Amino acid sequence: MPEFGIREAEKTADRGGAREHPSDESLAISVRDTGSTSAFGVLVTRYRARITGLARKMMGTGHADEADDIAQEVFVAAYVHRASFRPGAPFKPWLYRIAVNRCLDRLKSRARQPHITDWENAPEPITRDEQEPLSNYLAGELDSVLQRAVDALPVNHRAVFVLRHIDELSYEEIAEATNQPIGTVKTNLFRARAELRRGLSGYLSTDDGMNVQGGSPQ
Amino acid sequence: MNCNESDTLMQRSLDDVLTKTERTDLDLHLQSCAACSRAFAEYRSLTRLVRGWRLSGPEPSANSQAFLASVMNAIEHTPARQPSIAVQCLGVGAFVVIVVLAIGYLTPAVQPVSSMVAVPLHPMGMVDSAISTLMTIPRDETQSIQSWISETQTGLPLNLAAWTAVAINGMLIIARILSRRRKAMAGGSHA
Repeated sequence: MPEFGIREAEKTADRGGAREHPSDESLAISVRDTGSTSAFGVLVTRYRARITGLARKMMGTGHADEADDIAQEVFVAAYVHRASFRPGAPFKPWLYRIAVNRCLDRLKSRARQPHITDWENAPEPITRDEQEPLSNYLAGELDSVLQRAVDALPVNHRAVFVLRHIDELSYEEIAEATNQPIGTVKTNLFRARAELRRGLSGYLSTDDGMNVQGGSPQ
Repeated sequence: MNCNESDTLMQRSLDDVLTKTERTDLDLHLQSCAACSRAFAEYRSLTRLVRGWRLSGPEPSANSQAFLASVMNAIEHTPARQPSIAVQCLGVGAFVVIVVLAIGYLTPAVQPVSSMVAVPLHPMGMVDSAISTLMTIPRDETQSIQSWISETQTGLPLNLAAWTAVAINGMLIIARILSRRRKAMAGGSHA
């Protein structure tokens, strides 16, 4: 297997237009057509953090260590199945589809396994370091609460919610990534938000002093 | 607008996909409905909370180059999903040989005509019955016809089976080669 020169791939993958910053799609076509590992390396570098983050949020509390393994599996599967990437299609939903399927497979296999609480290796309860600013501590606490609330969502709702809010995919991209109609995506997303709003009502502000015209949250 | 419709518009507003008219309608409803106004504030608060959550979390454990190297290493050691074309052709060829031999040994055509019992479904059985009608033909002619039929019976099924098998095998190999070539054109070969 050839060495992967990422900079060379970035310069050569897109022969027309933006040579220094080839699009994901042009790199994906290069990988698909030639098996170029250098172009693939660029894609891995670009998407690694996002795929790892998605896996971490999807797998839930106490399973963050699986995220790197899942990310590796996702990229290996993407390379092995590169011929299934359709020219003209966007790369991101294609890659996310592989990632979502991997996460769902893991969650299903976890659901089949008998649950055994490992008290020996159970994480310590969150305690505040005296030197840590209170705001940081509270932010960490809120993140933890939110993660637990997301863990409690049905898997389909969780996947759609994470793809929309963590990875900022559009409805169409989520539909492609989860292989669902756009209507189902919206239904699942709206239900997920409604469930989270109910579950986290004690943590949410009821007065932000803004109306609809006040600006987009995005 | 009722509160259910308002909820849908609130959620679409979070995704920034409301039309101008929908925005106005929702704003009017929120001004007159305290429950929806509170719900909308909670949705917005949730969105802000999630934005902070998105940015949180530890950095990936391995650095980029190490991760990339491990991915490439895993790719390199991923077993091929299909055996090589040579192995596939050998497999198909072996199967074909077995089929040909089986047909050759099992067919009644290898038995002498005299020992055969006419089998209605076997075309050669019908030939046999035709032979008996030919017995009225003078002996020399009958013998020559019978020997010709016997030779044909011995050779024809085997030849047919063999050529059919060879043709199928050839088609399979050609189809496989074309499929391989098409995949290679579409990205099967390494850079």
